[in-house]
Amino acid sequence: MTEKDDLFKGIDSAADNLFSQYMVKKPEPLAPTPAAPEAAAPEAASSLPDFASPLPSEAVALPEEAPEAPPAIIPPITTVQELDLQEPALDLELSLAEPIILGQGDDLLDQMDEALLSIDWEVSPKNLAKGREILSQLADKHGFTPTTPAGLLTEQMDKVLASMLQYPENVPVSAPSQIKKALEAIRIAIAQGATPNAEIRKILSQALADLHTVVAPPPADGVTLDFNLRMEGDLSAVEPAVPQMPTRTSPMPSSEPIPDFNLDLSLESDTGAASSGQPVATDTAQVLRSYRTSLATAINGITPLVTLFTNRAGMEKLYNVNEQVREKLSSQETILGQTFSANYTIYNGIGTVNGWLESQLDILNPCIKRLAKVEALFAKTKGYEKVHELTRKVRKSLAEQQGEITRVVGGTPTSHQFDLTGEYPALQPVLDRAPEVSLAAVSAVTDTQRLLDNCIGIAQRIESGEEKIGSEVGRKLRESLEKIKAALAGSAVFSPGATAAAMASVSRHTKCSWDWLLKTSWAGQLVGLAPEQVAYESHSTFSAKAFKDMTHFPLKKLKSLPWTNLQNLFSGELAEIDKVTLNNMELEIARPPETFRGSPQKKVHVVIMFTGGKGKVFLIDSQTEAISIADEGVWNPGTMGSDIAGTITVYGSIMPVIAID
Amino acid sequence: MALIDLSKKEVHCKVVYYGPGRCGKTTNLLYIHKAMDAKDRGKLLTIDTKGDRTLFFDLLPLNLGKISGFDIRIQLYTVPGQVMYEATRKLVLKGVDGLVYVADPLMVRRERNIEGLEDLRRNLEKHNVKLENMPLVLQYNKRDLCDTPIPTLSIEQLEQDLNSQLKTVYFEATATTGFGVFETLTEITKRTVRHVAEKHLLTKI
Repeated sequence: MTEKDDLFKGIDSAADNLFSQYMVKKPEPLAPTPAAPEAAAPEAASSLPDFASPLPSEAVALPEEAPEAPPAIIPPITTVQELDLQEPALDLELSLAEPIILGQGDDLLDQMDEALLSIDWEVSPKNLAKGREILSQLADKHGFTPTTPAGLLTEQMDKVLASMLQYPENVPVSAPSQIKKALEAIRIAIAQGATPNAEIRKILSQALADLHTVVAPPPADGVTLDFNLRMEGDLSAVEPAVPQMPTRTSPMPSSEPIPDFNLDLSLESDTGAASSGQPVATDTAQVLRSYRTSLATAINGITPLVTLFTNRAGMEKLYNVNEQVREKLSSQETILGQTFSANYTIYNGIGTVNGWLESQLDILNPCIKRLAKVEALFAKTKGYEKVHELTRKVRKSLAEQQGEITRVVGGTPTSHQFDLTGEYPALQPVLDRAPEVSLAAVSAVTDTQRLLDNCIGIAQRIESGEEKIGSEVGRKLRESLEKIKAALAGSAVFSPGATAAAMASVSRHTKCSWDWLLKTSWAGQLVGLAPEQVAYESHSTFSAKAFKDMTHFPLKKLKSLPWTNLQNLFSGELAEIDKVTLNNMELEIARPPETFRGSPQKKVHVVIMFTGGKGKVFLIDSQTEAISIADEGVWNPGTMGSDIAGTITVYGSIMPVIAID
Repeated sequence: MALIDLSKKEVHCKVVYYGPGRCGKTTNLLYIHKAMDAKDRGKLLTIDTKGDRTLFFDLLPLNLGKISGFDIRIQLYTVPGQVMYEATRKLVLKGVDGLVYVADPLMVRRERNIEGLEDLRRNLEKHNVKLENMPLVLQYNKRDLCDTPIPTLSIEQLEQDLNSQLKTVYFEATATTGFGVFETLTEITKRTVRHVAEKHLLTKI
């Protein structure tokens, strides 16, 4: 058996050993009469998890609202009886002292169940219309009037459904589940009979009160349009735009807070993926406010279009495009409200504000493209002038927001990824870029340009005869030229020779070659190690004193016993070297740069990095931890001949990357 | 992408449960979390829910134990399935090593199942990954509804819609009762860890 076969066998048996004990057999098919999902009786086997209960107590839920617990007053179903389907359920005489028998066999109740399930999964006009129709039939069949509790409840259910149809963007998330609970209350009432007792009335009242809280409110600035248009024009041209993969360059980070490199995580602890509130720059907050308003306006503008094209033969594509755009914008409006504080000064989402804004560009770009196509179609279709104007305004408004967001994030981004492995937050982005010019250099160049412009202006005036050469003009020219000379003397931008010399000494890692690094601390400085070069890391510590006067480290010192095979301790290239050579090998102990100013540690870990036939020993302060690197940010290559391949700059924090090649 | 720590001899693999809204992704994780021994799994972390809907992701870490000297850890993620949360799904897919596509058997959800798979394909391509190159299993959930009058898709229909090209293994399941949940998980675990081991580990062991 090969090594691969062995490994695969080990994997399979580990998975089987771990999971097979939890497998359950297929349950027996349900009885012909269906039960609503929430009404299903719990399994007798107590070992199976109970999904009627809310999330487990160990689950770390971070809801904005507490999950709704099922109403405790509805008693569990313990018996089911076959009903004579010829007799209406109203003839049953029951009290709460006996188990409640739900109105099985009432076809309309089951149909309403089904309709509510459909609405819960997809709030669409079609599903809502069907639900309202069945509700009306149900009320008629059982003689519910607005003077009866059940009648009031069905009336309110209808109001909620109507509001969902009219203002879908404002529907509370819990609306479908509240309507389902109301239906359960009606089911109990039907089973109770024509005159519900006090307990049932209480159930109905509670359901009614809950329903009042989930009526979708109208938008603040309602937009209504009177459409009476005939279908004209070539609608086949309208195709939903396929969102293209954005290609963007990542911007310079602006005034974002410095992320925390303290990544002490384990499987048993919270991964802490959510951030705990980052301040938002004033300009960005203003853009977010405007964006929110624009989203609401766009949604209000598109909603009548969705209504117009609903259930119209031949208009399915127009319906789909508008509905999809509206869905996307609605969700972003919701997420915007959840992710930022009320005044948009605090960001409570994951990652950075800029990253979140860039994700909005991902949403806006295809929406704008789709609306542009629809707008073009309406423009050439007679009778669609109003619709065209409406679509144009919506698209223009979104395009303005797109421009503002692009401005705030510092330009059009080229790649955009978050690291959501769940174990640790990503380092902020690493981008392959040339070293940046410092602000001082930028302002120096700006001043120099101004001085040059000044000199050119003087020369032009002399040339045109406006100004005569005299001591005053001479003085101005001289002063400007002296300042330019001083600026040139200290600037690498204007010293191509110096720049070329500097570039020649840059390490071969002109760009960041790694997707992930081993993070550790070396002489108090946070560093990343090139993972493919790490051949050994000690789990236990060594006394730092033992290395005090050593320049080279004999590998045989790592043997715990005289016959220990060093090959088994190492990985990578070092493990390929024969035992005898390893026993006699000594590797240079790398010394930290003087700029690493941490206090000396008493205990150190030994890390051996080995590549290309050469290696070094690093005495590090802590065990290494794998961290991934996203591909946005700033990489600065190090100097040739140094162990520091380069540095990753993260909002002002610098992490040197150690690679010995 | 799997995270491999050679010095600590740990391998972390990421498995994402994907699918249209309300198909049972979170229910799978909930069941796994409730059923498994606490020593073999971590906490179920749920970020941003509105009642019973996932708005961001759920995360459940599992410990597979030692294989060839390496500690293998699996992280199970779910994504929000509703159409509106596409940006979130794309984010959560970054670095994925294995996928479970959970399909909804309701007839009215047929198009959503197909769209969801296309959505998965597109989002993977944005991370320069091909769906065909990923360890993937299909789970046809809510099989208990097939015995009710509610119109549901047969296995043949689901296979035709979703698996005619992928030709991967599928599991019938009823996540609320646990049927099929661990069968799905066992298979995706095997495929994912094999894939990661073959790609990254075989030369290093």
